[in-house]
Amino acid sequence: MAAASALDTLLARGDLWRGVRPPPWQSGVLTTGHPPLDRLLGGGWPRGALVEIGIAPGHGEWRLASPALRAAAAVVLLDPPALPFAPALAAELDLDRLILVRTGSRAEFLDAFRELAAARDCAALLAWTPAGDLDYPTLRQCQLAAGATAALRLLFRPPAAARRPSPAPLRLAARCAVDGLEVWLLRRRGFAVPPRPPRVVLPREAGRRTSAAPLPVRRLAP
Amino acid sequence: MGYAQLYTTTNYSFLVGASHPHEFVERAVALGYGALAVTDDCSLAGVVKAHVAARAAGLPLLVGSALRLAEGPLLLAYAPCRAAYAELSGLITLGRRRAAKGAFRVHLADLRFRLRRCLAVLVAEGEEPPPEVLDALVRAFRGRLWFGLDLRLRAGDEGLLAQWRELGARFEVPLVACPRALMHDPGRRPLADVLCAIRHRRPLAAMGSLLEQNGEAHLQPLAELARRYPPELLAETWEIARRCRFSLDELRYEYPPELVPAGTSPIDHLRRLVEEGKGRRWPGGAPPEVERRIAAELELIEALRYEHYFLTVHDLVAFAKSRGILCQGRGSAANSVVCYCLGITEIGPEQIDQLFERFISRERDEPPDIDVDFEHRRREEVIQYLYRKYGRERAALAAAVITYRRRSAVRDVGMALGLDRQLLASLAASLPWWEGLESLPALLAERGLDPEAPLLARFVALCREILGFPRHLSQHTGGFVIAATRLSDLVPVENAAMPERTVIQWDKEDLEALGLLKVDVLGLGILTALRRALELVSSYEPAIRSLADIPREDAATYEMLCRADAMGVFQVESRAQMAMLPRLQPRCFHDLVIQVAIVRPGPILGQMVHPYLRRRAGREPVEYPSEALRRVLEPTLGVPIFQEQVMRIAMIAAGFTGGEADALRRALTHWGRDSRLAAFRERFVSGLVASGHEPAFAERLFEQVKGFAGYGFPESHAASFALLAYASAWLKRHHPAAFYCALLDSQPLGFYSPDQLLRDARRHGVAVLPVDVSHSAVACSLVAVTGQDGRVRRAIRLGLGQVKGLAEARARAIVAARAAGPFTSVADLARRAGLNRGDLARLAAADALRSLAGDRQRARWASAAAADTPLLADAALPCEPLVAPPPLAIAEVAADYRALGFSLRRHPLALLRDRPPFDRCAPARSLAELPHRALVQVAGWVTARQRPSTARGVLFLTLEDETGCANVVVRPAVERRFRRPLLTGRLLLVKGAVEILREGTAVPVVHVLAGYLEDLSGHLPPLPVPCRDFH
Amino acid sequence: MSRCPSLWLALRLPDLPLEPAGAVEPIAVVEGGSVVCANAPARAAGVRAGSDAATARLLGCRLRERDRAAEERRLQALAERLSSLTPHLAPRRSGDGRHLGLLLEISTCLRLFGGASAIAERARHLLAPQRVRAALGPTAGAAWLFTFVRGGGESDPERAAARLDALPLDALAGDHPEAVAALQEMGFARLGEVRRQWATTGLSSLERRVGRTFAADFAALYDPAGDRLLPAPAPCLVSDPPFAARFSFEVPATGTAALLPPAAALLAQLRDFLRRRGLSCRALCWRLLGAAAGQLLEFPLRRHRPAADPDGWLQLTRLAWERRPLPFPVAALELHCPETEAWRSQDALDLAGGAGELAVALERLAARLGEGAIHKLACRDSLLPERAQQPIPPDAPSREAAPSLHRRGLRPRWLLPSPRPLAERQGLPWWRGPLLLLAGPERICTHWWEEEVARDYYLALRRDQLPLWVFRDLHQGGWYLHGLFG
Repeated sequence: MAAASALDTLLARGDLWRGVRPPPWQSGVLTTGHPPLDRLLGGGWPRGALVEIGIAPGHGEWRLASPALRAAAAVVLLDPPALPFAPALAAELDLDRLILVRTGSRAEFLDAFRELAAARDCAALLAWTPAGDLDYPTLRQCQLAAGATAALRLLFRPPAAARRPSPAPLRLAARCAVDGLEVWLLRRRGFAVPPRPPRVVLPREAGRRTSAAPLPVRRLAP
Repeated sequence: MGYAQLYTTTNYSFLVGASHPHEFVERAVALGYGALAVTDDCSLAGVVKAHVAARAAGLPLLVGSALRLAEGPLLLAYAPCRAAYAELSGLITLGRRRAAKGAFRVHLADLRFRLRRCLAVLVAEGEEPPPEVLDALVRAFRGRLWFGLDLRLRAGDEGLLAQWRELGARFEVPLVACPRALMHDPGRRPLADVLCAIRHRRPLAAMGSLLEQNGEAHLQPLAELARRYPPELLAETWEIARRCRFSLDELRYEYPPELVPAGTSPIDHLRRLVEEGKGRRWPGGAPPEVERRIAAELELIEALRYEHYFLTVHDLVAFAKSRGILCQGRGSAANSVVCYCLGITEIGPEQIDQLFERFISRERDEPPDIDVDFEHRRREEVIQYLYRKYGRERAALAAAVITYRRRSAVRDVGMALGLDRQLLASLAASLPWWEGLESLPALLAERGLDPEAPLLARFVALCREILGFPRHLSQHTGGFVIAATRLSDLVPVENAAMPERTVIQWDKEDLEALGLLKVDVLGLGILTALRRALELVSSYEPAIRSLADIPREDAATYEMLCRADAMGVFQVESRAQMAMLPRLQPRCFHDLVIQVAIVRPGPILGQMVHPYLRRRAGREPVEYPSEALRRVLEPTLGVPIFQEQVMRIAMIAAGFTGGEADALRRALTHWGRDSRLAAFRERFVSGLVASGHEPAFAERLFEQVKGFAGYGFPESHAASFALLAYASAWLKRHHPAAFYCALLDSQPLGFYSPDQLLRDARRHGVAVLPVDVSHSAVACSLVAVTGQDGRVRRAIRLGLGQVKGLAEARARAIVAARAAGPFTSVADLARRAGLNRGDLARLAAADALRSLAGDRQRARWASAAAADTPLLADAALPCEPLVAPPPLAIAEVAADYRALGFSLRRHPLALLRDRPPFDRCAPARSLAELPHRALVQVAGWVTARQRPSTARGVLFLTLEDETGCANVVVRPAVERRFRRPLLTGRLLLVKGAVEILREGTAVPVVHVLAGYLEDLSGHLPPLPVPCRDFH
Repeated sequence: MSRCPSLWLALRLPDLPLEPAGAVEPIAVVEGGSVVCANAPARAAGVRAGSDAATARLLGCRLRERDRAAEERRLQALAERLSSLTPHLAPRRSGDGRHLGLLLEISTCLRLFGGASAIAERARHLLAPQRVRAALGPTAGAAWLFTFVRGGGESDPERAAARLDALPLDALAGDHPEAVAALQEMGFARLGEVRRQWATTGLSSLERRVGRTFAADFAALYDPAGDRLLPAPAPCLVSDPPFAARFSFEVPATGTAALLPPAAALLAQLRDFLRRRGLSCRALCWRLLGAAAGQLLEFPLRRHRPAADPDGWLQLTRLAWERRPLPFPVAALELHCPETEAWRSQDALDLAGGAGELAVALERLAARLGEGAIHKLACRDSLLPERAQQPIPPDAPSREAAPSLHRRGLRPRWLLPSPRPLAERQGLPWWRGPLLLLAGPERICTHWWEEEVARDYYLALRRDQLPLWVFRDLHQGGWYLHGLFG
């Protein structure tokens, strides 16, 4: 009986590769709030895994992540590129649960990331890599820290990072496009990514405010 | 096809709109608008002012109102026709009467039944109203509803048009351009923000997003509107304007029917009343001339359908007389024999040459304006009678619009800009009453602040801009509006501050502008005093019961007036009047009428006074411009003084009819703005030349008449006042005790304070006994005193009512307790009359316990103990003796003034007379003996400050000392040098030259021309100096 | 039983409301629109106690609102300094609160300190640099009144009574305004006249007319015991100051490692201090003092929940000290704990399920990264976007609603710290290519009373489809980037 139980504990480990069937993310998934994106990621953001997104700072992080943060108990932004505008965000998430952390150096960033990622009641951590991006060993440590808790851990890196190797089990890239935010899959553990990566477009601001037709613009006096 | 501005908030939406109604009209015309709607918040208070301006500018005006429904949406309602107007006015009345003063509540349910004909615009706002509300509105306003777009470059506006286009399509409701205008000019943006801050009672810095986000809420140029709105929305505004044909001129006044007994027509009832009256006025039958006049007047009244008006006023006067309330009509009504017969006025055709056209004329087609004065203490009874007789739905008081004046402007604007509270209080306090806000920058500099600093420069500009802005509606003192059916069909009615009092939203000017009737129920202090005096006199001389019993043309009375001994006499007691009396020396009633009329700005400006006085004193020959005018100008020795004379000159010499002559007078009254003046000048001059006068003379006469007609006093009005002046003078001459006693009981009244009246009484030998709990009644009373010569003379016993702060109920309790037997001690008084510590302290302070406890200190010592002993302890406990030192004389006088406002002890100046610098000052009485132009020093406390508009900036001071009053003249140059003592000085030393006029006057007229002023207030202990400032 | 006659020393402190005594520029403390007291330069400029605040400002004084609580604390501290002189000591405040001082009963310790004047001199020295008006008197009330009069007071009862008689009644107006006013109206001007009335008609006649308290205080001026059996002893109030502990090194320490053991000891001391009084604390402050004067380094530490466990605080302390090397060798280490709170039971529980792990992590980060590094955002009610939000501490609630216009209008999710100027070509904004204006303008014009702000905001699209929030300044002209819609 003891051997069987040992097998069970072995199977319970998330990092055991069991043949072709893609193992479900060890701690389940969290819907992204965008149905096409859920399909692309196989159900939603993985919990307890480092998700890396290559996007120019300020180009669409909120558009991408905010629907998933609505229910989060606590959201921490680590080194955001600019100041979130509270009155605009107040409609989407509870400002009382949004905390901003600003570090001064790469060492402080890694230390902060590890501390925050390890806190179980930090439901969502959004971090922007410091200038000059992170090297592989640092990313590896971030991945380990993200694995410790079954919560959402997003790491935003500059677009050029897509070409550099990274240990993150899920890697995406995104940029602004004519009809909204274009997102495509770079790597997903247990899923063979075809040479032309699958794309999805999140329409710009659903809802009445920006209807399709361009709005009347006041002709400016030359 | 033009553009109509549909959503305009004037400053009659209190503390919201930042421009006057006429400013909106003028700017709308300048911008080329086709029409303008005035839509104040649940109010029509500003529509008449807009109507008057729009009528003059020829701009179509839409009468409307903005109604924020309790359910949320904002609705603009417009009245296309008279019936719709009555509905709108009724709805506003309902909304206002449901809520406290200044607020309103209108529900969706009200609209369905009450606005069947009005057009409505639902203003599109960010949050759409719930579908069921939209449904209800669309069903209620089938075919007369629009969705209004108020696009002002604000957050969320960009999506508004698309959103409401879709709604409009779904509910088949057309869209219309409806930009809101809070101000006529973008420059008023700072004032609009300040008004918003005042409304929220917060400084601007703490207003945050409560302020408008930009300044676009002003009347926009058509080009800008074309850029912001699709053309069809702008065109739709004209559709609404086209369907609104209603004008406020259509409002006609229907009189209450109750006044006429069933079965007779109003005019027959009036004729019967006039017949009865005629019988009373002329028991032996009226002379034929009077009969002719009555017939002519009644015929004109019937033609113009004014009979109801006379019946209303007659009913009022009859009620007052039935209750023994003294009353008298004033104004031009005294030109009418019908009024004399109805008992409304007391001036008969014999006393003045009545000119009916001055009262009513065919050309004017305005209802007559009769003001009726009542005793000011019993006016409330008359007002309650009106409410009882016509009911609250049909009778209400006209509004008085309370506007921003200097002090309120400085305080409110300063607080909005976040200035220091103490600084504002000191600024407001030191603004002299005779200056506008011009001195504000100087006052700021005085306090070490730089008036050019941006914030302070804004502060001064905003204070000047807000002057005259309405703040809230309050009640007019006595202007009553009475309607045949519901008053709210004519004008919205809302709650006044006082409980169960209602007020209409229009003020006196509005009612006159629309030709609507208003009955003025005014209070006149002298009537109260005369009735009280007659009561006192009839107690010891039954022959004198009413005004009619006073013998006419009593020589002794006129002789007293000639000596300028007129303090307390109605209308002729002022400083200027007292200076005129000895020069004019009135000897008969007609002279008195001239005396009342001549000391006015009109005659002074028209240079009428000096020629008349020279001719009266015989130092100038009396000649008349022409033989035809002799009869008109003979009573005034050839010098035109009364308005009626101007009209008669025009009628006789220039061939004007009565109505035209009255139109000329009205044109001359505000000749600055009236455009028809040139036409009148042409007719007047040609008329005179035609009747044989040289053109030069005609031109000069017109100039002379133009100068004074506006201010000239109507003879009828002067005569009504002269009656009361004569009655009060007669009483002062023959029954001084009763006269002064009545004046004291009717305070506040006239020019002089109780202190001055009491000093004048004692100068006339009337003994005055102080207030005392053992002897005084509640009011002042007369006491018979037999002098050594055995003659019974009357003395005045001051009443307990004179004690400041003592409730009348307490005074009555004392008198009632005393009836059971005299008081033995202060404790006995306290126990039997149920007085508390405060009452006893006030009685002691007024020295009214002298008979029980001796001087003021002992009275306080005894009363402090008396109030403390429980009621059960017997009062026999002896009061411990007081061993404090006796009081100083000056302290006693000061205590008198604090507790009573007057003192029977020696005048403070008498107590200071021995001290320098008073010992070197001449007493006021001795000034008359000095040579003309002699240099003199005089000292006294300031009892009056006056700056008459006709005196080219000269300030008149009255200084009083123990011997009498000195009139001091302060020229502007001197005033500037001694600004501080003039502003704050209570006791002044004046050095200057004496000007004495002796010839042509019964008693010398003395003035001191001030050269040097010094403030000696330090010598006086702190006491309230009875000083009156007159504008 | 003969009691030795009591002797009181009154010490009035006119400049107590002025905290930093000896400031150079003229300062006046004001309350209710009038000056309470003014320092020497202000008095030289002509400002007196009682003159009105507006004129004080005009004469160039800096005005400070009076802080009565701070005065109470200072009075308490001064009282403790004098406790070495006599146990019978009490603070004295005048009825209307204008005058403050101390009353000492010194009859028992006259011989110990060599006479009354010696005691007065020693007290004046102990209270330096406060300005002191001292006076002796047979009774507390008399001594206090004599501090207002020149001449320093009178210990002999008869002569003191005579000097009291000459005082005007207004001297008592501070404590009994109504009674004094009533008596003045009854003709009394000086204390002696009231005493003569008391002698002739008895104290009860005064009590019935002007109240019991006045009569009792008036009698106490002249005869301390009056008809009471025992003189009321003047107890001395002592309260414990806030916790402060200090550790001095023989040899100044250079590395942080050497600082930790003494820090642990001081934290233990703090724990005992708090436990004895049933208190707990949420914040404390380390002060590292160098050997030379002026060398001082402060480390404030704060926890999300009040806690007294030494090792928790030690861990935070280590994190804070490791941040950067010590700039100077540390000669002394001080631990201060100004604010304490009542200890609540649930503070001690450690909630299960990881709750609070984030809070602990944030604490450690705050200690490591410094105070301002971690904050939340709260909305503020303002029309201007840059003033519509403000950073607040992580443990403060953020419940303020966003202003309605920012909720209704198009608003970016990222805001630049300050608007960035953009190039302009043919009146249109230009940033790496022409910007296409999609929506607007939305006009925001306000703050005309401070510095005028007038802008037209637009939603613009860059060539790479990045949606931007730009505005045109209507006053100086020119285009600016203010936010990204990201």
